[in-house]
Amino acid sequence: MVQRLAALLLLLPSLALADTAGTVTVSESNDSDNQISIAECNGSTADTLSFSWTVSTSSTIPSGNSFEFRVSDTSGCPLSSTTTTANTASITTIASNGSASGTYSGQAVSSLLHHSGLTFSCSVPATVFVCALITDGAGATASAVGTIALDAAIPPAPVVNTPSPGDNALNVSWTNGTTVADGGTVGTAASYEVFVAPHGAAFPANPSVTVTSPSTSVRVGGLTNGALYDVVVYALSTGGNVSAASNIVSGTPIQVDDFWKSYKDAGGKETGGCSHGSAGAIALVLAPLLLLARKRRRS
Amino acid sequence: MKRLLAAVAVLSLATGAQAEESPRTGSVELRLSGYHPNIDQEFGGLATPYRDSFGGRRGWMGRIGVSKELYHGVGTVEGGLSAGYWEMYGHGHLADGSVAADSTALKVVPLSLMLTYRFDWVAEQVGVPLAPYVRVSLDRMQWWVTKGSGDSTQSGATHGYSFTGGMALLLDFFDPSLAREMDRDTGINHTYLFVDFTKSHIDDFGSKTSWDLSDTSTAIAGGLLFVF
Repeated sequence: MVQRLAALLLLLPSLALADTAGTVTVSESNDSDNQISIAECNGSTADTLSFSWTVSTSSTIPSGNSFEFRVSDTSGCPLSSTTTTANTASITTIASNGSASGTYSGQAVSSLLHHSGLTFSCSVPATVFVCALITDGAGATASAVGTIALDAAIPPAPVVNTPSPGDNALNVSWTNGTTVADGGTVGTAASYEVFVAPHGAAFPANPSVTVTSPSTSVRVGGLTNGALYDVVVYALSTGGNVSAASNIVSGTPIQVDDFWKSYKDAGGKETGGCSHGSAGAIALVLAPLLLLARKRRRS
Repeated sequence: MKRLLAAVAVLSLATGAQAEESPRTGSVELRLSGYHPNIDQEFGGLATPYRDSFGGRRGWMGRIGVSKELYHGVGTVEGGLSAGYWEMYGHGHLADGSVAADSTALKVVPLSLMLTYRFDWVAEQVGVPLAPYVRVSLDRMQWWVTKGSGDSTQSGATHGYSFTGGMALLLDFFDPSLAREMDRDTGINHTYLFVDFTKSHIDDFGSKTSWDLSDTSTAIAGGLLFVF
């Protein structure tokens, strides 16, 4: 009886280790937000995923064994059985050569998520589970697991207020809209892109300013006083889903007097710089020297 | 009379721990005060560009000072330096005088050379935890003005002097054993909580072509002083 108990106690740690999974690290070629946007999901924006992992095992990995790489909508990437319902696809096998670590890359997001056996939809938010499994030397399944989010939420188009003129700048502010014009789930804006163009001209490909939520205002500089500009704002979700365009507003930068200009216009005589108060400057410089001389006399 | 003698005896015993103090070299102080520059006084009430841009608020000025002990006997004389920071944000103005959305700011870094006499003999030897002090400083206010983009449009420096008088409360009095423990662990001999009043004259010693960066009123400051 005692021997059986001892054997059970020795077996328990190995069972626990077999249940402990390593981690699969996921990286994207298009960005590093660890989120699959709608455009990345449907392939309109190219995004290739790369995976690296180290499985957790207390045993050695036989050199002839291979990793099985799976993608699933269920944690642990279980295969469907009579007791388990999961949408899991076995994507590929990779030789381990006796190593507990492995990598897999070159799989485009759009093809990976639409692999046979998977039911991901680009318009439904989901968590994509990725797993690497291998049979270790003790005959147990060692695994590593990871996730990447499928962000199918589109923020509503912002509503932009009339810009306040600034000095060679426009102060732009907006509120979050409430509707999604182009389908998908209503999402929360994680950032905003503000585009500014001369009135009537096409907006540039790149935003003038990117603002991180929850801030909903920005000062767009580098403009010309007296010229009319158009402004449009887009909201972006965490994964990079872009909202519909906001309303387009227009504004004209104008000269603004800062405090110094106001002071001089009022007849102020200060000229700036350090040209005045030379006596004070000399005293400030001499005082430490006097203190130093006193210290030296003491020593 | 007997009671007075007994009290003195008790106080003497209480201050017997002085011999256990670590060597003293100086002090560090952290202070916080309000500040409102007197720039508009130049216009004699005919214009108020500072108030128009920033309003009448007093901004918070924080400072840190380090002093070297020059004398310790009947009180303490210290010479030191301090530096701090103050800023005030407001709005620029359009040509028609209306307030613009663009901001403007005045930022100041005050630098001071300080000579301080602190009458701490009573606090340290008799046990009454109060130490009045006076200070004279040579000051330099390094300043710059920024516009809405955050770029500096003008900068400069204004010099002057100031006088300070205040009272420091010896916190060691409330927990002497903790104070001694702190001295053993960190070398901080005494800790004071202080309040003082400063009258400043920061106008390049009366120059007609300099800002008056003196405080519009006698400034009240408070903070902590660590003697080490």
